[in-house]
Amino acid sequence: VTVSLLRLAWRNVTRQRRRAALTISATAFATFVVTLGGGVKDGTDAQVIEGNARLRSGHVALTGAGHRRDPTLAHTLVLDDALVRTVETTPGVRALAPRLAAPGLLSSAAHTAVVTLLGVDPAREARVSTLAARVRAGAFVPAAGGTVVVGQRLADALGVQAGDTVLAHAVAYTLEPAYERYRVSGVMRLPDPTLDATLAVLALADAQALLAREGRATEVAVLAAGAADAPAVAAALRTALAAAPGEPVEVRTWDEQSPELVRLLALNRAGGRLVHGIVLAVVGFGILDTLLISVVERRREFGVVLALGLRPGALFRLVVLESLCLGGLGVAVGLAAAVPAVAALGAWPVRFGGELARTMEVLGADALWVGRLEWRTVAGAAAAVGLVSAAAALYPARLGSRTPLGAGARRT
Amino acid sequence: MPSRGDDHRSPARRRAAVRAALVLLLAEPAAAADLAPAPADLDARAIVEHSVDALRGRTTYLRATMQIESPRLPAPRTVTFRSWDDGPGRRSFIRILAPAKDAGTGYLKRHPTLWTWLPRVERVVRLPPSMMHQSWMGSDFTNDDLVRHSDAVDDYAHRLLGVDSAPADAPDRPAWVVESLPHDDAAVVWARIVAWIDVADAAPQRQEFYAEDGARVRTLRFGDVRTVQGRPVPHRWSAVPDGETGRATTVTVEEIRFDEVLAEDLFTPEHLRGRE
Repeated sequence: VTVSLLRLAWRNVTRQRRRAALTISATAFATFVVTLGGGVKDGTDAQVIEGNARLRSGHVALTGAGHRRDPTLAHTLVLDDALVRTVETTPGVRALAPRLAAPGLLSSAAHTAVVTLLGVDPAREARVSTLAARVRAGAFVPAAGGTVVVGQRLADALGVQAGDTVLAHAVAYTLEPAYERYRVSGVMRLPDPTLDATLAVLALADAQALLAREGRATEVAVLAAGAADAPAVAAALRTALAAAPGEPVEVRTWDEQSPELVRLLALNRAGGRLVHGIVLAVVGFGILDTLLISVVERRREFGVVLALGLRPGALFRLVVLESLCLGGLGVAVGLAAAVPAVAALGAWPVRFGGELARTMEVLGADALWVGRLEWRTVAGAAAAVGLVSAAAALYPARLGSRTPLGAGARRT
Repeated sequence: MPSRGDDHRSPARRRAAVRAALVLLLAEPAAAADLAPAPADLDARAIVEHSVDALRGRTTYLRATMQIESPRLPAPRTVTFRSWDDGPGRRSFIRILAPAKDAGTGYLKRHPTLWTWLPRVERVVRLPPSMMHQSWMGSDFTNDDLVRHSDAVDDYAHRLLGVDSAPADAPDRPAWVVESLPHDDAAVVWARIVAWIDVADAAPQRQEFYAEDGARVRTLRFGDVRTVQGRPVPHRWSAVPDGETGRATTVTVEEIRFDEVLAEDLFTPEHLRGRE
């Protein structure tokens, strides 16, 4: 019965080709918008997450116990060969970068700025973060140290450029005033304006000496294959570090480390869902309208087949099947257009500007529309449009199935 | 980089929260109940003004030793310094005498600017305004405490809460309890200061500093009151921050003189760059 009903439904759909084409276009459009929107969202989110990890604490961050509550030099971790070996040999760890950070001041001859002094191991840092790659003038901190690399906005505020000398000034772990002169070896351009105006990178050994914290780090940033691997790598690190002797180490994934970023992404996603919901509702009413007309047009026909003994339930299913045929075709056409578009945006991201671009920069990501194909997003879009097609058919189908038996006879 | 905690549901945290709530429940009414009402005609601002006089004249010269205790330090760190303060001119000068590593370091404030001289690199650094509320020399006193950037009298609105007949620190010396709330336009960090001021001589006994969220951040205690030029001058000031066990800073006044005429060239960049 179902197969013959389906055949009948298909024949009914092809009877009004122009109307069918119109409904299919609307459905295809909805599918295209929702799939492309979702794909760009997936791509942009992944890019923001990766940018954040590569600019800040990696996919997984290790800190000394209590550092999160009180992020000062009071809570550091012992940075010895044993720790480095334990982390490096943990499955899933691609690279690690130890850092020692403290608030301080940076002064040129004329100006002083409040900064974050960040000591890094230059060779290891280059494998984890994009800091070294963001140097636009001069060079990153050399292995031997003795220099500082500053953000462009910080350089502008201090009126310095590569080659000039600056004075770093902080309170050491020993609560003594600590100050030292460094040569500016390079100026980097950081996407986050706050970071760009406050970050001063120096060699780890220099920072440890200045702040009287030799052999210690405030953080070890760990890079995994990707953000998705963070929970597994974090779990493996927790196990490995718990078994290793020494002071306790706290392990956190990027999302535990940046909850405000997670909230922002969730909020953004909710906004996207709202827009998609509106598109689907509009298309749903379009389908409803078309089906309703097709049902009203066929009152005589329906009256006849009902009089001939077709059960109202079968008629109901027929109308729903007609809608699903149209919806299915629309989804197929929409996906055929959207999937290559998302893939193309993945291969060739498009740069954008304006207010949104600045927001992206604050998040540490480049202002690019990037596509990313995720089967869940594609399947979700197809299912949503299919569901809307079916839902839109319910009322017309009910109306059709209740056509009075004699509806066709009263024509003249 | 640092972000919010996540283990607020842990049993230890919950126990701590319950304990804190209990302490609050038990302590708050007790403290309030201890206060006797003050005479209605008393001016809270005048009392505060009076207590400020105990530490500060038109001009003030001071030689003192500061001892910083912290779990970070195997032994307390001791800093000796001299300071000159010109109240009407809103100028201050501080020179570090010891330890040897920091000797010669100087601070000059000419309102509203604060400079520091770093002798080892022979550089003067102008400290940004935000540093005013940061730790001075790693202690629990701020730059503001030392160079008196803000005005304890004029930057706040004062209200007399009552009389504490037996203050915790000096049970035999009743104290006025004054609450000071900053004016909207005042450049201060504290959301509220509660001060205990000796009823007999208006010497400061204790000051509690509160943050925006209502939590107490720091307590200053004043002791060893000796009369200098007719003023009841506390010679021991201690600062204890809340939430950091084992931390405390104590300043012991070795010499203090008021209302001397200070040399004009004391408050100059040239003097800042010099050595005593």
